[in-house]
Amino acid sequence: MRFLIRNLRLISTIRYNHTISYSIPQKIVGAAQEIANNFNKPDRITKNLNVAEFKIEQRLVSLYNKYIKLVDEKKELLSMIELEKSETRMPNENEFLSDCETELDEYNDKLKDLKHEIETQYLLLKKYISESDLTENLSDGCILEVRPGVGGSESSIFAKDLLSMYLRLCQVKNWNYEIMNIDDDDSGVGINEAILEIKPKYNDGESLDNMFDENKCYSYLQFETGVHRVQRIPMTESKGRVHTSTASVLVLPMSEKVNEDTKKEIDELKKSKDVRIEVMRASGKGGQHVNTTNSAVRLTHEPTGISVYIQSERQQHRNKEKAFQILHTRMKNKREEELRSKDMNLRKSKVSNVDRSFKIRTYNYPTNNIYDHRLQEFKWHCSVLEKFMKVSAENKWDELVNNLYKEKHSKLMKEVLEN
Amino acid sequence: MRINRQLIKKAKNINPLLPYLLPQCRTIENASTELRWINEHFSSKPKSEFIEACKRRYKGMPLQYILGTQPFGKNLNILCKKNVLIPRWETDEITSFLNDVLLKKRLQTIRENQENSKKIILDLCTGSGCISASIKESYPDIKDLFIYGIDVSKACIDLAMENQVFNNLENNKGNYDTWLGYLLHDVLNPKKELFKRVKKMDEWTGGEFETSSPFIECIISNPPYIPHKQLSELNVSVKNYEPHKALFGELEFYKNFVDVWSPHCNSFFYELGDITQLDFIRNNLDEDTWTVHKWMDGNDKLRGVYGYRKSLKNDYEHYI
Repeated sequence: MRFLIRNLRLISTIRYNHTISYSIPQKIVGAAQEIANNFNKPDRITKNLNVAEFKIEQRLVSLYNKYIKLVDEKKELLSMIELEKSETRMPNENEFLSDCETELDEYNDKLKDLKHEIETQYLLLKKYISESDLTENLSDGCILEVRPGVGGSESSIFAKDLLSMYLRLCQVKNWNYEIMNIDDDDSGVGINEAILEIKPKYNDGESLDNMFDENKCYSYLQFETGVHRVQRIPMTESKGRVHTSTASVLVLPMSEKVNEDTKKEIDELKKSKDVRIEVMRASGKGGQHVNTTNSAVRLTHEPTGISVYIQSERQQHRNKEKAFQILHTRMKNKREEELRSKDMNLRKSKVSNVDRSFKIRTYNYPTNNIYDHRLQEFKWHCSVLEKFMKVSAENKWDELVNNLYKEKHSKLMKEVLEN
Repeated sequence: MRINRQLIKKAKNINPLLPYLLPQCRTIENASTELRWINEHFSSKPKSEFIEACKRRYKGMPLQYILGTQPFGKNLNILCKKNVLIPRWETDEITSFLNDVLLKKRLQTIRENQENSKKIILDLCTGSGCISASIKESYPDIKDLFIYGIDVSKACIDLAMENQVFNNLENNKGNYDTWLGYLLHDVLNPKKELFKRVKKMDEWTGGEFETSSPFIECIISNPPYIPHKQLSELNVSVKNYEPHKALFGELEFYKNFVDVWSPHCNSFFYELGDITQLDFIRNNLDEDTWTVHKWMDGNDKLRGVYGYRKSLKNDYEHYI
């Protein structure tokens, strides 16, 4: 009898969940039906000149049809389960029933995925996101930069803490990373700047289509851009007061496979007269007279004022190559940001992109807590700060990124449905 | 130059080994970077070796002798050993100028024409072999192109050959790629056999090529150019550790170029340290046949002289 009740309860919760989390908003249903109805009308095809939009509509409808079909199948399954249940007296021993339930779970998962896909297509249709924002279109690799913010030497120390956290994360996630540059501050305990290049490790060319698969460094790290705030008693504090300092992180996408276009653009940049190249200026005769090991290079793109300083390699040429690569990524990012802000009206959404000056997270040492300020609907709470920073609680990271992704999606959905 | 006591104290607070690097690096920033390189190199070895390395650096031993290599060219790692000059960053810049600018069009023409005659590039006073290796790295597959590195020191030739293997630039029989080899010979007193070998011998087969005149395409050299009287001004790491034979010289090699080598070549690049060396070349080459330019390094100092025959203007002036 106890088993029966448990099973019944299970089924009813699943049912309940179905109506809440797997149902598609009415607005989308309406839109999909309208598109489907208009599909075969000849004037629609002639009117519709925008091929991209047409494709999205097509995809939306086909996904929607799939969804309807799945919902029907699921209903059938449910009624079958119920029928079976009323006929058998010992439901827990019925193999058929337990098989049905696993199948039910599969249906639920499928529906959940479909819902997400349909919503994404709808967002695309309404121009709240663009094709390039889709996870599968994001570049794999990225450049991650950490810089101290307000708080003097304490913020340099915190920047170094953040850097070691990301290095740890790369190791845990098994990503290839390269320290492009580390600029230690005067005291040597903190940093003034650090640049990391992070790439996925490609093993035998196999790529998974999983949303957060191991090969997608950028989609995992994209939410790190912003201001990280720390509250703790600094090492430099003598009276034991808690200080609040910040460090900023910037994550820029970078294509792992340097394609021909990027190569060409970098070459053009090298030839361009806008870029001022400075090598270290040693006094004295130079040449055979001295044997200097300092090979730092600074590039400045004069029109935009973007400047890159690299000193990590033992050869000027290699420092220069790295610097040009970073300069190119930064400039490209800046151009894209400008474009994005230009068509902000076109895209209507204001939540989709977090500014680098946006305060995203607080690390509170006295209480051992971490809060992410962007999460409202999807709660995430971490009370193992040390473990989080050392990435020994890897699932905390995965949970955070997943929630951030969901939060962004649901915010967008809210917006699109309100308008 | 003495180092400020406070600076030493500050360095010691960051890392107890850091003060050892200050005499050569002068600033904490440079010293930290060097310490990181040394640390990376000795990361898999016992700690005592790491400390020993820092102490050797304190005495002035060049970093490249401690780490064993110096990155050069596009992707080369040049081995560095006692008795051979360490490649300087200025020479690196010169090499990229040679590869990407001066020789680019000319070698393209040679590749397209396929004349079937021997094309020769000489690297005189080759030392570690860095310049010649870098040319082969940039132009690995030009048929009938032969690059010779020539040096009077046995240690240099041995190391240059080691570098050729270390950087995977060996001559593979049968594919007729660019050939690279090193000869032990005195640049100042070249014997007839050297000329004969360089001029005619097909290094792949041992056969002979037809000759044209002038027979050398380009001569590149980084000869010793520091006047003896400047010995006292030199840094400890240079004067106590690097071979004096590769450092000190005044006009010998420039004179030798004008008298002995210039009649046989189409173009040249000589590294130099002094305006008198530039003027010597300028004044002693025939103005009607040669175009001569000076070359400034990234630090805006006079660092080289190059030139080419006026008859080859189209090939050599293309990018300049």
